[in-house]
Amino acid sequence: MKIIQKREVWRRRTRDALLSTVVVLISVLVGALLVYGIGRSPFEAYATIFTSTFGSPSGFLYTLSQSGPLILVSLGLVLAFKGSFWNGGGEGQMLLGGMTGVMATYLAHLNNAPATLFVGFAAAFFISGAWASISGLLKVFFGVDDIVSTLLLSASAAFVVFYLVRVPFRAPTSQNAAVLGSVNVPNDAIFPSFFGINGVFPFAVACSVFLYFVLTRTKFGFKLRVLGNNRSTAIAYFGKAKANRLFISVSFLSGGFVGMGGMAMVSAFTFNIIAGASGGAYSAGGFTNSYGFIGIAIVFLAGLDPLAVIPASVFFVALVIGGLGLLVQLTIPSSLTITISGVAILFVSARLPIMQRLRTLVRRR
Amino acid sequence: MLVLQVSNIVEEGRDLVKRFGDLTAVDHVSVSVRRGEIGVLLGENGAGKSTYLKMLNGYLKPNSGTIYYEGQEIKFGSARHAVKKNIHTIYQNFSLIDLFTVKENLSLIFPDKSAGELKDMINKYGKNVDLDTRVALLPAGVKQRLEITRALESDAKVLLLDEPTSVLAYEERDKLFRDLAKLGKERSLAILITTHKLQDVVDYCDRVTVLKAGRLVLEKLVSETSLKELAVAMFGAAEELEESAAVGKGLNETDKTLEVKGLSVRGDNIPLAVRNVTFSMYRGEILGIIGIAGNGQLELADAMYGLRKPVMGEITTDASISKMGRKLRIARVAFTSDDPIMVGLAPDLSVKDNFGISLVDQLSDGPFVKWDALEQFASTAIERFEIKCNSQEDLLRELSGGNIQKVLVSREFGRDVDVLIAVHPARGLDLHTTYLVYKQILEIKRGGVSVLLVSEDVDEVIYVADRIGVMYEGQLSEVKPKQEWTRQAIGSFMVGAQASEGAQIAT
Repeated sequence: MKIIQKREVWRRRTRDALLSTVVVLISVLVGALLVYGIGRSPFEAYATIFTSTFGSPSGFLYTLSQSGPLILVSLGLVLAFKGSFWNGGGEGQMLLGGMTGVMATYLAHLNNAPATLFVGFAAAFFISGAWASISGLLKVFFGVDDIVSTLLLSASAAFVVFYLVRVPFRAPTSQNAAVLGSVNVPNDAIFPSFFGINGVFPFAVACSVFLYFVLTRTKFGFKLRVLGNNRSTAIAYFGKAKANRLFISVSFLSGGFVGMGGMAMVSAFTFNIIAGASGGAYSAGGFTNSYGFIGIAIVFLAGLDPLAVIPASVFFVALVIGGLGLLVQLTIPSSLTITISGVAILFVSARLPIMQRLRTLVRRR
Repeated sequence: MLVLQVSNIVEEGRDLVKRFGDLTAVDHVSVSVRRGEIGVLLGENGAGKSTYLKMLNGYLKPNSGTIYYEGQEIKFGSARHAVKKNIHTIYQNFSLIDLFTVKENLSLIFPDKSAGELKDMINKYGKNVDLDTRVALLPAGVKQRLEITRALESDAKVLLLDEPTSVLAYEERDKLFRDLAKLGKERSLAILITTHKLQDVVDYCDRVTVLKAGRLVLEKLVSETSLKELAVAMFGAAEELEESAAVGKGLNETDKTLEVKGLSVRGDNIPLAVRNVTFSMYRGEILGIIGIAGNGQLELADAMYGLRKPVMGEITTDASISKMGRKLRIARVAFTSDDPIMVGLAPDLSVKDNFGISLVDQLSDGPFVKWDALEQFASTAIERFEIKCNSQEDLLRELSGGNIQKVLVSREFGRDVDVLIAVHPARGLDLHTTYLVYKQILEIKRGGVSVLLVSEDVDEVIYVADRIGVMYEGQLSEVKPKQEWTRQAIGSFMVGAQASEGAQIAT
């Protein structure tokens, strides 16, 4: 019995992994057609993407480091979607997390690296979590749609951050009216690198493992999965109050992890937040890299599995970095890689409805 | 019954068979729909009435058998094809757009008609409705009338109505049938309805076909049959009840577990689904509550489990529980007609996870789930109830319907509780498993649990319960030991015919 179960689990894992690989291959193929369409060699293009991301040890480590924040953001979304909290506001939560990290570490003056990092990440977690749980509360008490409220609150968060960057936390050196930068985080709040790899990557991986453990081993994770799969069942067996509390916790934790993704971005790569006046607060220096949205695709590509989020995030980050390589080395527009990720997102989201339709067709005949 | 006027037949299904997997929902049944007549398919839930209707309107394709329409053999490509042939269907949950006004809804079908013409159209069929009211705000009867109007104005030749009376109040029911009869005669419309209410048939219909478990058991002109004959066809032979196996021990006040007093509960479509119901439950006793679907027994069970708030009345826990100084623990097994996994299970989680849903608090160690203990429980249950799955890691939705049901039954039966509420615990199970479920319920009762069995199956209640009460339109009959009931008395109460037949015979 035990052996059969293990085999069953692995069968499903392999099937999911295979499906995700097929999705990735299809999008790569579409990309190749596009390159061919503009009269360039697809092989050359992919060789460039590959060498600029995985080709050298330092490039590889850089790609891994870069994927750290994206992994954290995606983990927040895994939690959300497992608990059927449709968090579409990752962008705002990430921005808010980054800003909170800047403010907390700047104001704390701890002169101690681990303590400063802890304060920064904890503050980011708490504030972004609180922001996301507004949507959770609205859903539970007023039935407000969570997709809508998270998205709208995301815009509000961006304006709050825009104000914070422009007025109280503007860097004294930043006088340009068009692009303003916030103060930098103190040196203690900069995530150190080990052997060429930034600490945010191992930190994100540790978080993945931790969440995997929480979801599969603990009572909380179990109830969260039940709630996410069938709300009426959760209400019937856990009680309405408990189910509601669970949903609000889910929204808090989800926002918290996304916020840590923002802090990781600040602490490892950008060190401050830049707010451009041109596109309003939305273009806060391109700080989020649209991770709040890319994360949604990653989560589905990874089949809501916190461990599978790691390779999926690395893949997407590699596309982003490879896109820059294309532009610099071959002058192929980097929008090619955006298209590839777009096609991947399309197929990931189309997968379920297509299979559903096939199933109902079979049943009706 | 010989059919003399063959030309009356507008649409006819001959020898239709429909299978869903292993289940044969309709088994070689022939039914014809005749001009100027109201025909009726009568049967309990799951007898195959709706499935038959859906084959006649092209929504489902029969596995074998043929459909004739106006004398010609016809194969429907889709439900739309049938609508083009002027076969219209009115389902229980209407196909109007709730957010649109009456006018907007009608304009979708008749884009060329002016507001005045639409108004005339509505008035013609006897309901005075404001064209600018949103459909969501209309009572069920008016919505139904709108749909009928829509079908008639689209030149319907055949009108199929699936359980048209289940959403209607009594007076509305009367009006609907009078109008249907009038329309049928005036426009030589062929009408076929499905129902499980005997009274509908006897009062208003012309020709009845009784289905039981997918088979045709009786076909007659209503004028040539009686309520009694129909009840027997639907529910089985009119024999006396067997004596209860366990000698009914006296019901002790100290053994009282739950007391329900003057309980009224709101329904989804009707203001009061349960009306002023009072009864008590005792340790080591099975209370059977029987009624045809939609008579309030589901809402009653929900209220007792805390899923619905009562409008009036109260549910109190009594002596034996409070003496032990712990909270009452209730397990609940419930299957509603359409979706057995709506409440109680999580289809996208594994079988093992599904066992955990109600056991996780019992089987955990601090914040951690004791997966080994849960696995142990699951494998015992899988073995005892012969649940067919490759392993506990199968996703629940990969199991067949019967096995999904067994997961819920075996889980809830295995819990350490004071009260068990079982709603149709054996619905859709094969005979072998059904008896397994009954044996388990009896065993649980012997263990001192007080059991509430809500059922639509007379045989089930008679076999299992110690005391029986019948629900009709939200009200509960007197609750009596089963020796004081006859099968027929139960049947009559279920269809609300106790007054007309006076069938309350004590043994």
